[in-house]
Amino acid sequence: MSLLEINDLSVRYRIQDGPDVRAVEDVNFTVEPGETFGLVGESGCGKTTLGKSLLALLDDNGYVESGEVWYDGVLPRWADANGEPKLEVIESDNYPVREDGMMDLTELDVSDMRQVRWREIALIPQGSMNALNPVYKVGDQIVEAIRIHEPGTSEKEAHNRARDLLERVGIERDRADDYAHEFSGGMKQRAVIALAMACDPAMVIADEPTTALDVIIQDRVLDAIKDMQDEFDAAMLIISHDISVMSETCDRLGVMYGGRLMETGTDEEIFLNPSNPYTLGLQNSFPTVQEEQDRLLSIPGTPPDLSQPADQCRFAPRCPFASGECFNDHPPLFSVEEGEYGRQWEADPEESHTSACYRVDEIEELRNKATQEQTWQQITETH
Amino acid sequence: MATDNGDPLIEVRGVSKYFDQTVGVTDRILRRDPQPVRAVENVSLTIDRGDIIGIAGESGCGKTTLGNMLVKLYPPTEGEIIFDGQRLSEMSRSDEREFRKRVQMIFQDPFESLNPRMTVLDSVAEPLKINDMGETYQQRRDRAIEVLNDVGLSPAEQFLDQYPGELSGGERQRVAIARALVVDPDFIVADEPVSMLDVSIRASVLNLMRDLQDEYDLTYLFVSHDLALIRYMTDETGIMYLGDIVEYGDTTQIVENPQHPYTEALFDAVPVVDPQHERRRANVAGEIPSPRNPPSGCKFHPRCPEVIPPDSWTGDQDAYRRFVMFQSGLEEREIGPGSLEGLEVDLESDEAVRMILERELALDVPQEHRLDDESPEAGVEVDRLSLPPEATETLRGAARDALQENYEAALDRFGEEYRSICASEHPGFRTAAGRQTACHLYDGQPDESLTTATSSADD
Amino acid sequence: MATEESEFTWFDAVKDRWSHRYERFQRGWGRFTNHRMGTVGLLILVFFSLWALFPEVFAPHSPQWKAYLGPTGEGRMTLEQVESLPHPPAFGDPFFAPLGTTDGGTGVMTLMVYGAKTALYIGFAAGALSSLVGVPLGLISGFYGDTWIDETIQRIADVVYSLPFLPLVIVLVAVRGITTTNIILAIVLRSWINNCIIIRGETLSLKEHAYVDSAKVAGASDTRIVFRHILPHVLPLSFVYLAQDAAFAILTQASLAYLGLADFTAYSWGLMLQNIQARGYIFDAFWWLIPPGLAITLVAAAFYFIGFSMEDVANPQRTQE
Repeated sequence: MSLLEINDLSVRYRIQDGPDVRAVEDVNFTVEPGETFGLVGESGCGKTTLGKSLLALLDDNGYVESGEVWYDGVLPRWADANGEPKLEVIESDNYPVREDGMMDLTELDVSDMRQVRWREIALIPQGSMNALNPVYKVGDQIVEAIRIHEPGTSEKEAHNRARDLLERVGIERDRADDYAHEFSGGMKQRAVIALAMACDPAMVIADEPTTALDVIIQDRVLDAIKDMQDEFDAAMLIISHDISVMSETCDRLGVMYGGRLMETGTDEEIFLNPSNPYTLGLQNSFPTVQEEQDRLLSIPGTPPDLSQPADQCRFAPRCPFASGECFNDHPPLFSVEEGEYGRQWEADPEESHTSACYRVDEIEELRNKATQEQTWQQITETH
Repeated sequence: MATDNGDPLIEVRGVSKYFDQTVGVTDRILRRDPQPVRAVENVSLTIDRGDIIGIAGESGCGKTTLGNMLVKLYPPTEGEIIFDGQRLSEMSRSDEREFRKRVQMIFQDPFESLNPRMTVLDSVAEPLKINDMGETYQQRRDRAIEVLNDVGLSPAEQFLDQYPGELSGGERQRVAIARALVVDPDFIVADEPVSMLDVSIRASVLNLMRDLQDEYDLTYLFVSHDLALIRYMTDETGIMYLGDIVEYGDTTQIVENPQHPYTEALFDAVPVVDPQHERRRANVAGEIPSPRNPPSGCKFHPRCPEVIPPDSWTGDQDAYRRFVMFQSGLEEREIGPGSLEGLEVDLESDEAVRMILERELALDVPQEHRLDDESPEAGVEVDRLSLPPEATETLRGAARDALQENYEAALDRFGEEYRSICASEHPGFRTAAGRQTACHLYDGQPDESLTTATSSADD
Repeated sequence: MATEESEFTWFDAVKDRWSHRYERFQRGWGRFTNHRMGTVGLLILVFFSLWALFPEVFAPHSPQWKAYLGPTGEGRMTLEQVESLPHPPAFGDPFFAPLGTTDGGTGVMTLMVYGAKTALYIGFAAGALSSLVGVPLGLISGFYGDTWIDETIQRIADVVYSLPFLPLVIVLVAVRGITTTNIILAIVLRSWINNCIIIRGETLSLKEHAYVDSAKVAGASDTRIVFRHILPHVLPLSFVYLAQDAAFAILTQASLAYLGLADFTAYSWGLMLQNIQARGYIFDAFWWLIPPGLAITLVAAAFYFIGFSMEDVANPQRTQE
């Protein structure tokens, strides 16, 4: 059973003058226990909003418009050896719980959500350099997290655990007594990872974990994340625009654009067989150190205005292959693999490789065309 | 004015830039020497007309400072920069005006580099006004339109009255490029020109810059930390670390066959899009030290995986590397009783010494470069390292001293006998595999400085 | 290249360059009027300005008018009449004085109207002068931050700041005489410092922006950078302080007048207060006491309101127009 199942989630922001901004629309995907799932996309595509919405950490003017976030593991996880619940268990009377025991996070109230945060799902927010409170010692912040979410832990025990955690991510034990500004960027990031792992969560959401870091430190931090993940057996949801980092770290990926999921699949499926025009465009515009590249392509145009999205495929205005149907409605996620009835088979969440494109059955052809510059140049002329 | 012979367009000779050399009152009282930030140290290079050169490195390596000096934003502390035969430091007012027409810069943040209260037309036309190019308003306007069209902002007329806040990131950067081009320069320094743009936009701006090179007959210097960008755009690259250029040469060669251990680590560390590719991670421990107090000799040596043991070292290189790391940890005061904080152990006991050695001799590098059962929290067993017995004694003694926070005594134990050439001597450039590398590994190779004097500039 | 307009007349050029600036002004104005405070302040100032500019229109009498004696003020009053002064507001019987009279028989309302000019003159003059001195010095100080130029200016500011205000005024006045101008000078001597320091701070941070570097690389001279790139950003802030300085000046002048350091030949509200205090009618003639105090407060407040609203208009958080 999946750890996290996101069903038709839509998140919007209220703004002062004008219709609500549809930051995330009809997103579906699952995260399995222990796996690393990546949400990839450029700025404004909604990935950060999605991440925040899972833990009810949206800004005041953000709200979940529809959809559910099913989470498994709130109830049974916190039992000790005899099966007795170790910690307070969320009362399930008032909340919709499915037959399989999964609970909808969007329905939780504030105090219950607090129990979920950190113990079940931890967050490493964007710019986490700044997520460390500058007036408290770093170690104290870890201690606080431990003691709030696992009441009954003695101060001494919590301190030791904090130092152990820091050591595991490669930071000297005595640095727990230092303040955040005494840490370098890479160390801060690792400290934040330690902080996230403090309560042994089932899942960690990391928003742009290595974006501001130098490449060698980034390498180390990614390594630390991997180590921690293996050790704590936690699932991970990584949100980033850095395609190369994602390709290396994630098992499965979801590509977002204009608030919608354009393609999902395993790492290999998406990078070896990209099946969505946006993904194709993105891939071809990314320079790589590995090989000589003649010419990078770029996707002309700009991302759509999410306050009044037109009734069409979000990518259609910039898509070289858009035609007919594409301008009527945003496509649902189709299965990329040949199904019983051919390709265009609307995928259910169990399907691995899916793509939101009406022309997914021609995808091999389109893939070839997408590597040529003229294909993308044409868009400026036709649209 | 332009010399069209084979002389290089730009020569950088032994340029250094130190910041913050002032001595405060406290320092004066305590008689401390000023510790300036050594942003750039003794850098030399040559740029020919039509080259596209890259300067790559991590933050704090000095690449931005170098770029700023090339456009005369501030003067070097030492050394000389020569543009087309003329020394920057000896320019008269009118020389400088010429210079400003021929050398321009594109900055990293497209929003910051445009005055938010000036329209696109104002911003683009300003260099014309400053340099008295274009007598009438009309002429300047026309030229601005021409240049805006060249950078892909067409129809230009519709952009003229807009403010930067109304444009997208990609458009703003194009305006910045247009502004740089409007005076028809010869040389452009681009400092991280696309790092703040979305991925799918970057390619278009980069391609634009390439296209413009032919049209405007430009020479480029790209400063960036993005190695993929460097590979895509540049012909030759210099890799900088803490103010030094550690390797310089043909870009493709450097990427595919790096000579300097730092370069190797840098390119190892770059993540790769191919999911089937097993990338080797960078084998570098530690963090970039402060540019105020860089390590002696080769600045990279405390972190270098290939630090050279002296002849007297009887153990293996891996052990030597850890030895050097321990010593450097003592110098930085990072090793001490704090490393065992919270673990209940008597700081005077042998147990403590053993624990500290285990922890501090362990390499904080990805698993593949460590020994099998080594880990950051468990450390490494000292016996498993191939250390000469005297070295082990030194380490034990030093660890004991460190636990008492007696760092002077600890460091005294490290005599000269185990001092690497990497620590005592700054490597000059050697030629290796057709490139210049500043590394003692290539000491057998001929010594070559990057500015082979062919120019007619006086000395 | 565009071929439609090959002939660009001078007028079109000017229009082209100023049209968007005008638009900006309009937008700023729109936002300003959204604030009730600022609008109220503006209205108050307009109101009093009318008094200042056209006193004859608004005052019920000329300044020479005296109660019982008519517009020329000639003649003598009877004992009875004298004892009835200061006279509370009277609307026709025995004379028209909507705010009553002073103990000398002058109409309070009249004095109020004629006094407006001094108040506003001081406010605007002191405010403007303060900015004219403080802003350039602040710009220079900030732009050349941490050099001898900056040090010098700041030291001077420190020294002047430490001079006690009142003795300074007295000395100045003793040396140069009690005129409104001198009072203004004294006030300005104190208030320019605040301007200077604030503007210096802004400049220090503004000059780190990349567009300043860009301008340098394009070859801009220091002067150009300061006036073309930094000043426009600093100007809105300086208006705020101008308003504050104006308010401060008015209050200060009133206080000085109250203490007796005022130009006795000019009508001013402060002087009215001084008079009522000196002649001992504070508790007896509320119609004489309240109007000047109220007016001073209103004008000072008006300046503050305007400054307050302007701060919002100038607030850099408005990124998108």
